[in-house]
Amino acid sequence: MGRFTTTTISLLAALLLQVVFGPPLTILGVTPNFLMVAVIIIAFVRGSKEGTIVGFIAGLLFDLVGTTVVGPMALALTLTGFVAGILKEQIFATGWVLPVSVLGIASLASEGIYLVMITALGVPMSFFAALATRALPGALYAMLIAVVCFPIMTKFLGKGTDVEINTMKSLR
Amino acid sequence: MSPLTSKGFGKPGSYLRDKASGSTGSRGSYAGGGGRRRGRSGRFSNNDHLNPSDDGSPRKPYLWLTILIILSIAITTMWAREADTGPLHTVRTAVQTVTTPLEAAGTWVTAPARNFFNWIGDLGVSRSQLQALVEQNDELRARVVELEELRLLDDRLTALMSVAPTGTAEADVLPATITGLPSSSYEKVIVLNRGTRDGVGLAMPVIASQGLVGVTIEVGPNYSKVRLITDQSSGVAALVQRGRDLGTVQGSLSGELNLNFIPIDAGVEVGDTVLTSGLGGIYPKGLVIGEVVRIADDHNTLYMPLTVRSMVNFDRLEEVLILLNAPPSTADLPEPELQAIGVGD
Repeated sequence: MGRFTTTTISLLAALLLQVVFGPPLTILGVTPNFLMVAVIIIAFVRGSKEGTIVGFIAGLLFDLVGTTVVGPMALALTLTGFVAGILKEQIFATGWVLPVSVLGIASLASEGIYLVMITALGVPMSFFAALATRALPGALYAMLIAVVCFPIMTKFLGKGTDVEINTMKSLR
Repeated sequence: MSPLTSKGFGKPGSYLRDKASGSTGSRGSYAGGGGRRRGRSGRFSNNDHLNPSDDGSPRKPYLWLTILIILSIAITTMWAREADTGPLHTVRTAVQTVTTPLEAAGTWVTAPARNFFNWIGDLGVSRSQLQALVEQNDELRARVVELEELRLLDDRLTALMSVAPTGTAEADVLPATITGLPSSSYEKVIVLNRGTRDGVGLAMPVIASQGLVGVTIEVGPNYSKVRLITDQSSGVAALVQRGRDLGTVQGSLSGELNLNFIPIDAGVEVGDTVLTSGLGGIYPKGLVIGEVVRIADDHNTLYMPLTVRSMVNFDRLEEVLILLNAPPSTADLPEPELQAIGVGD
């Protein structure tokens, strides 16, 4: 399968998981963001350009299935996809522990950008309370999902790439 | 170049081809490449981790980043500016008409697991809590008998005086099933299986047997979305039943309900029932919102810091009632008033 096909399938699978299983898997008010996890992993495997484009599309889809303003998550995931791609190209090491940790940081940053945007757009909420009670647990939740998804997605997205080889080595 | 063409993403196997041709790159081209490579100009670049793709064309991530950031901001602005019939709103309605059945399927499939975990949670009820519940049940049975007598008296008097009752009596009630739970950590919005085909419109109150649930904020042909009163964007004009003090019940991110604008010298006490006041034009008068459970000890404010607990268990709601024509009618409410109660953007 080509890169376009595997990326599209990954994105659609993440959207399906988000719509079908996201709401029921809410824990203490925190809903998992499968689309964000997919964007960061795609950016890790494919680099910053693909991460940026996929981030924009995934963010727009997230906004469209939600109920608040359309656009903030598109911006947040565009930036996240770009930064995750850059981080991967700059500091990637063998194994999956570092990528998953970086994914946690990237998802926290993404939630932070989203919060800034929706707060600026007038959604009434305490920024720091939301950061502590939603964004931080959300990032930990994303890391938990990534532990399961990272090996599967890297294998699916990039057979033969350094990311996939290193991940598989570390799991053996 | 199209952003997602296979050419732009490169082709499988190019990593091996690079190795075979003796490329100096230490990483595969799938991963965006590292090390030094020959660019389109034929020169080596030190910034190749950002620039080259498999076919040697520049990847221009900063150009894409700039374009997509501008596009995101433009979409956000357009969304905020356009009317409910605008193109973005239409796209969202179309997307949600497709995704709502999937959401309903997810809720249905995971219901047994959620019920199981709820049951496990209930196992923690202690003996003292059980005893308290038994006592409360006896007390409530006595109250029910008493209230039934009062209701019969009220029926007779109402018939005699031909006074139209307030509240839900005049409204057409439509039962609905919850098919979708909140899809984001930042909003408390549920999805119902009723839409415009069933006569549901915007800003219609939704209730459960224990009290007020929320208001419809988005309606499609086969679904409607309800903003719960616990959502931070929600606001309900309220009335303390005993003292008749008027205020506003506001949701919060944590799901707590805060009763605002009750003067500091009002005689509100813990346990007082809070009802809808009928002001504001959305909710009819007399719907139960909850009861006061906490009064914060803060004497430096003009208003009492009150916390209200809804009787509705929002985590276990399955069926609700939509008040289709609850008085007063909300059809002609101006946009600012709709926004004040969290309807619209």
